[in-house]
Amino acid sequence: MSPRRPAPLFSIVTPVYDPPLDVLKECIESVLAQDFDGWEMILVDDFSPSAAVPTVINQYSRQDARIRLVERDTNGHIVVASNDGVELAQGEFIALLDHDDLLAPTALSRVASVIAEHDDVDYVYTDEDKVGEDGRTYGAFHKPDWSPERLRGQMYTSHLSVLRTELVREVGGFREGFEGSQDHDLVLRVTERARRVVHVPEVLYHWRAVEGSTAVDIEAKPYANDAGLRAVQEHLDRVGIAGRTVAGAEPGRYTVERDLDPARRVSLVIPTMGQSAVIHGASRFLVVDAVRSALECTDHEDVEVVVVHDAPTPAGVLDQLREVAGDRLVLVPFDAPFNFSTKMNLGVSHASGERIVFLNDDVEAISHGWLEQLVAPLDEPDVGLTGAKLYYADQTVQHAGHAYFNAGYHHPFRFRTRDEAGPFGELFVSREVTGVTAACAAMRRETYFEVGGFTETLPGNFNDVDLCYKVAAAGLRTLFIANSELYHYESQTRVAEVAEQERLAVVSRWGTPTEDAYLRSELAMPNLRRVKELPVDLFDGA
Amino acid sequence: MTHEGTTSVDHGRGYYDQAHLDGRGDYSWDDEHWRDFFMSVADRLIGAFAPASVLDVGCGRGLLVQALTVQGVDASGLDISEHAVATAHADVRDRLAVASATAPIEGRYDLVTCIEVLEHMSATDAQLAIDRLTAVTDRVLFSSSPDPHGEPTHVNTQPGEAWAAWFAERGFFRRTDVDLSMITPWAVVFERGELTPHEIVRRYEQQYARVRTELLDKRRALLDADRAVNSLRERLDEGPADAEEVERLRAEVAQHRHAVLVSRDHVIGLEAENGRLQRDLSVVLPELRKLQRRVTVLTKRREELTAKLQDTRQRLERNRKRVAQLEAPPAPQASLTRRVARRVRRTFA
Repeated sequence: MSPRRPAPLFSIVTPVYDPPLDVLKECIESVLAQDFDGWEMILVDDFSPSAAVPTVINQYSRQDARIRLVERDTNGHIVVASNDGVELAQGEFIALLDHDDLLAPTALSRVASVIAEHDDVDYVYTDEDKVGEDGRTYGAFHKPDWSPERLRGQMYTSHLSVLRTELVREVGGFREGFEGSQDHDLVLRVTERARRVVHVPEVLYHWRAVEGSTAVDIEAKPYANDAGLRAVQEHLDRVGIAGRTVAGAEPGRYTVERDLDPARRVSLVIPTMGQSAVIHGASRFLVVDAVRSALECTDHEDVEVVVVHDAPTPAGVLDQLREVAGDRLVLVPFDAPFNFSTKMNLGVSHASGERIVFLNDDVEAISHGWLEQLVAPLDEPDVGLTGAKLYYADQTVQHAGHAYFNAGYHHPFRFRTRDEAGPFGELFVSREVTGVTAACAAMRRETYFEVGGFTETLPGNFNDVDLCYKVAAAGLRTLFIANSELYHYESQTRVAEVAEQERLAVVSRWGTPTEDAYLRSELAMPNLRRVKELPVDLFDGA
Repeated sequence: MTHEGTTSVDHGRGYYDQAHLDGRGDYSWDDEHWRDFFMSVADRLIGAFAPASVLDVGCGRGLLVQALTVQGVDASGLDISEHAVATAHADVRDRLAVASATAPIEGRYDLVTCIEVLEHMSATDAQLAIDRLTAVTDRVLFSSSPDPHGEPTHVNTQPGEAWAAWFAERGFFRRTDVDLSMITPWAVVFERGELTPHEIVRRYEQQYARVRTELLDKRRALLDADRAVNSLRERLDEGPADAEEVERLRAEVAQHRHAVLVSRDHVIGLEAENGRLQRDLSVVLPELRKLQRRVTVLTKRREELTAKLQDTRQRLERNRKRVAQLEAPPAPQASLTRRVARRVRRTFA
């Protein structure tokens, strides 16, 4: 543990415009109830129509000198009012609190304690829930740890956000023209420069759900969605990601459509035994369909198809593959007992592309540009692995990223339908995940060799889990790509049999997973009966 | 002499020390290179013709005259350059004279040498010079550079056949059997002779045929070489023989890459396992220490209690005895008579 620094001063900035007075009082009371003293509260009254608003605030500031009222002569809207508060802030950090929301009593002390652990913390965000008119809280959003890709798809960090004052001023504070998504825009600009971003996985903020507030419905403020699109697009332009931001499947969600450099050679590596199966009522060679659809659904031209085929693969399959892939086909024969990892490692060893896409032979591409969207994020040097969104033949979700918790490796959101968003947009938004399935995933070739590929000690199961752990151990992010969609006719090709030995092999390397960093078990599996852990203080006391 | 030719002034110090013969400095007998060169020229001439007397026309500093003299030949020289004759080696200066090659020559010689001289003279003077030197000998060693640009003083360069024809006019013909290309590539020996056309044709045909045959052989060899290069180039382009090798090497590369992947995974797996064990250890060790402390406390406590127990047991034992004592029936008393009797016995004992 690093030596403790003196606790910071927080400047709570609250723009106020015409709130119900009791709600405003509750908001201020929640600050006064903090179990931490190092704060000032700057309430900027944005020329509220009712004179009672400044009167109430003045009453509080007479009680407690840490509470300050700033009165504006004109109504400047939220950006201008917030910037007035930022300008006056004397604290090392700015905490943003809306005039009708509540802080949990430990909010500032918990944030102060994580700031104390490192001296380069520039941004802290916490979990949040909603508080209804009856005062009851609900809808807790257990957020992922710092996820820059997810922040491009939605303003997930939201409340409580605590930002280093110096950095807020350096980036120029809130920007006019981004009203409704001004906090998303600010956090994007701050995190582009932040040295360290910390997530406190505790609900420390209660967001009041009142009709007309974004907590209830972002559609109430359509201009907010538009501002969000622009905020994300400008962020992409600033950080040099070539692509477009388009509206996501629901308000407040954004889809980044990246461009893939046409000069990048991509190698699809596909292990197969050349099985046929009945899909949608017709008998087909799976691998041929996989390759055909994969090539049809992409505009990228420099694609190599490396097929690692078992000796019993029917000659007809190989002929059809040659027909479909032409001179882009590289055949690698394999005649050892089944070992998925060995087949993949062999395939990659024969591949010539800078980017490797693992593809099971029982997939079929759905979305046009699946390859571009899957591969392009790998141009970010700290992205090590990307995985696609996979569906069963009936269009229910088979894979939307893995989560490792409660001593197990899970497929959250399995069997959800294709039009479901997930509790907080998890199925529509590309985001950081702990793991992805190897059925359709992509890596830089150099990363694959750096981490030693798939472990051949795991021939059937969990080799992808091990790979994801290795990528994370190398300090690289793994992304679930929501707009790279394919079918995965999983049960068609392999009987899923998990040997206990396979689970142990993973655990012996990486330990037993307790809680997932990116998808909390409370969200992934709300009805989970947790594995009982022996309390640490079991042996305490005499 | 006409204005077209060169004069003594043109062959001063600068000519000898810098320009002449590639500007190789110090053109003198004392220079080992030049001395060795002219000694070997003299060897060749003596070996081929064993002349008793030699005149070197255009002798420069008389290096050839000196080389011949050293080997016992009565040699002398003449040169237009006053500088050259004046700077000649002392041993040979007396044998040299300043004179133009166009002037009549006195005496009679077994051999007249005229090396790289006539190209420095006008065409008319050169003809006159040929007249002069063919008048005093039957054998001429002749060399005249066909290169018009080698030296600025080359005012009258002519191809070799022109000189040969001019000598032929004076009844001198080439010795086709003598090769003196060691002096210059175009050095020739002309000899006076009454040659019939038959003999001349025979001599030249002999050389011509040999050269022609050689030329044809070389042309054929060149064609063969060209064909071989083309065929190799084609094989390189098609590369049917190499394709297999390339394929084999490619497979080998893939095999090694695979091996790299497997060992890398092995190492990373071990590192991960090590990390996991360290974490486990960091959890287990404090627990162990806690338990050890507890064991110490409990052991101490046990010892205290054992001691206390022992103490209590001892007290219990004592108390038991006391109780037993107290509870035991009193010992039966002796009868009054016997007690009195004992008292009396003790008293009077």
